[in-house]
Amino acid sequence: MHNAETGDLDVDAQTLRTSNSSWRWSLSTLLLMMTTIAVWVAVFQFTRRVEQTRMDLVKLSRLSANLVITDPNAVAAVALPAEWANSSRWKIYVPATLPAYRLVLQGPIQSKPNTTLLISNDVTVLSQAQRVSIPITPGTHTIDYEYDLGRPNETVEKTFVKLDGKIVHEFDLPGPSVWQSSGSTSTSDTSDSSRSYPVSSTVKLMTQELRGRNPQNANYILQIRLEPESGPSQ
Amino acid sequence: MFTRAIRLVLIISIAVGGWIAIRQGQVFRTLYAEKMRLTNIVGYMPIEDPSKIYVKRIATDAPGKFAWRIYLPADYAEEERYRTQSGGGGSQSVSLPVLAREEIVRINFRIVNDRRLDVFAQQERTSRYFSLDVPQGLDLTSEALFKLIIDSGVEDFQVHSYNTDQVVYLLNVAWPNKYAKKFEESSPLRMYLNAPILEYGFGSTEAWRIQDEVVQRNN
Repeated sequence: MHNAETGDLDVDAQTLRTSNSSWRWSLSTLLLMMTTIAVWVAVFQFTRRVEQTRMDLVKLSRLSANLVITDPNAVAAVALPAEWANSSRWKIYVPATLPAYRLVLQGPIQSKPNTTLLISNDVTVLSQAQRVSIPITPGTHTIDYEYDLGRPNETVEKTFVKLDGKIVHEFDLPGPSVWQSSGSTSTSDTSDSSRSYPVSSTVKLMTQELRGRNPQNANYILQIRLEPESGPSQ
Repeated sequence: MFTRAIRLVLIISIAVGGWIAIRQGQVFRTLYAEKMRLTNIVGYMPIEDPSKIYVKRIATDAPGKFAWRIYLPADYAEEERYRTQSGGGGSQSVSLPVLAREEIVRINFRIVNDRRLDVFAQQERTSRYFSLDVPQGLDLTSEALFKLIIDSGVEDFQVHSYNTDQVVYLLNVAWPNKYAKKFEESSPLRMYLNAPILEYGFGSTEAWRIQDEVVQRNN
């Protein structure tokens, strides 16, 4: 190209065009660039939404006592809201893989009056004689432990353990007129947040210790747990 | 050559990004469906102002059972109070949590042997169980119980918001008129005729102080 005034070749402009030629893009390349940006914006948006939804689910699962099965090969359990005082409910998941699980109830075991309570965390102190073992099929189940509240202030209250709404064990437990709430405890491995447990582990759904109201009243201990067929493990 | 290389990089980037986006989209749809399922259980309650209290009644699986989803702001010291037909009542302070929190409050009723009304109230950290006598001459069946007047301001299924200096009544249950008349005739508890069967609410210590002052002024 000539310079109109001097008639010389405009070297600077040519050099500039030559040096910038590698930064000129075809329409298809520009479309590819825009598509790339759009795809990665979508990736970041989805990732952000997934994280936010996961956080919401943690909160909602706790509020709704939702059983979350994170590992299909592990036992999972969540404590459901109690319907009445002194009653408890759980939703559990038992895997199809070995070992098979059973629902074990031990107690109520009576200790002598004027003695300290049994050590509830050690299941071995519970008598084998007062042990009921119920096989549980793989899948999701509901377990209820409840009093018969129709007879208040009696010394003995009918107590039930239900599996999927059907009574699987019925026994007498000393009523509130015999034991005192102060000093009596109820502990559990479960909570209102769903939890998975290591394979072959024992899950103590409830360990209840009832302290006698008077020195002449005995103390009682009762435990409901999920136990692998091979025996209890800690 | 350079342009071709750029194109190749872009195409690979689109392929990888597209695959991740599709996977993330599938994960999101699954999680979102689960979120909607749980939201249907505990109710949808958007928190527009985190410094306020939010309450929403949620559906339960049986009559005689009531539940509310509540949001409490950070540094909110909650005190639960109730008052029963016999003039009895109580209060319980819940420890001061630093963080904002949501929980479900449940109140269950049931009639035992036609003579006793059992109430079980449960919050995340506390539970309360008490029995109320059904007055002599009052033919109160389970069916009648669930027709009792329930008026608390949050009995609908809408989201309600409150300032932290306000008391929130969740439940205010009173005998219906035709039972109230029998209740009056049965006399011993006549003085409590206008009292509800159960009032149940919560508020901060400051909110209850303000409420008590208003009640005292009105008396």
